[in-house]
Amino acid sequence: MPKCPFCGAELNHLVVYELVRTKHTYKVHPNGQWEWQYDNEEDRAYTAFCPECDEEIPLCDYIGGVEDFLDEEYIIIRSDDPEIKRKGDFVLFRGKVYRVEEADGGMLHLKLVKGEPVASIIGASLE
Amino acid sequence: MPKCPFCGKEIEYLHSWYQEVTRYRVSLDENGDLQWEQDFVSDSEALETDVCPHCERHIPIYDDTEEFLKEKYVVLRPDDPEIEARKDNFVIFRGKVYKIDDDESEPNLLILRLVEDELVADILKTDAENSQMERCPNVPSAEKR
Repeated sequence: MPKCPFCGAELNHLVVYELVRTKHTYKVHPNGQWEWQYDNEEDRAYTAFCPECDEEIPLCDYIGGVEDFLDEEYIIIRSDDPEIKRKGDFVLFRGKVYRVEEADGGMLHLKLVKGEPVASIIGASLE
Repeated sequence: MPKCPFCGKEIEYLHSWYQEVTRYRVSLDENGDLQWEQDFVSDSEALETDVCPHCERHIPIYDDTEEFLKEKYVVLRPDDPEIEARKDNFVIFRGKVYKIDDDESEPNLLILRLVEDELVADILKTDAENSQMERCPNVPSAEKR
């Protein structure tokens, strides 16, 4: 189960706000009739929050980030979290190997290394 | 057809942007698929209305969108070359007489309302044709048109 990088709570769900911006068109025909058209042009943005401490989990806007986070394929963790072991760009966390995608403000954004042989080799060097 | 006071292009329709916020509780089910449980939806809120489809700028129309598209409510730059004549609170634009609306929030634009009373419009127009109104430069006179 993933954990919140801010309060450390184990999370089985996230609170996600979906912001949808829709373009509408207002048209008046020469005969005086008017119509509203609901354009398909839409902007969608997603923001995820920890349900325990209400802090925003910085997953960017893309919705795949929520699934990857809940799946523990993409995690965000404090760089001084006691559960991690780090060597260069690789981190061992709860028996799985992650690659550091981003290190920002004391937070590490980590992506799961897939492919067992590679993960095993890197994991062994981190143990 | 009305025109945008900013880009000068003819406008057939106007755009508006609306925003809606939905809150979900998102979790993974036993198969590892995302489950979205909607628990709140906001009302649709207007973000920006009356936007020119060409230059995307907001045109100050307030609640007169239909009147604007029918050219009964016109928004122009004061130096618009299609203004044929102007005197006091009246303007002739594209052969029609408009009264200038006082709008202190838009000091750089002329907000005009069509004078729909035909008799009044004719009197004002005649006044202009008799050159008692200030002729605007670079515009052919009514007789030449």
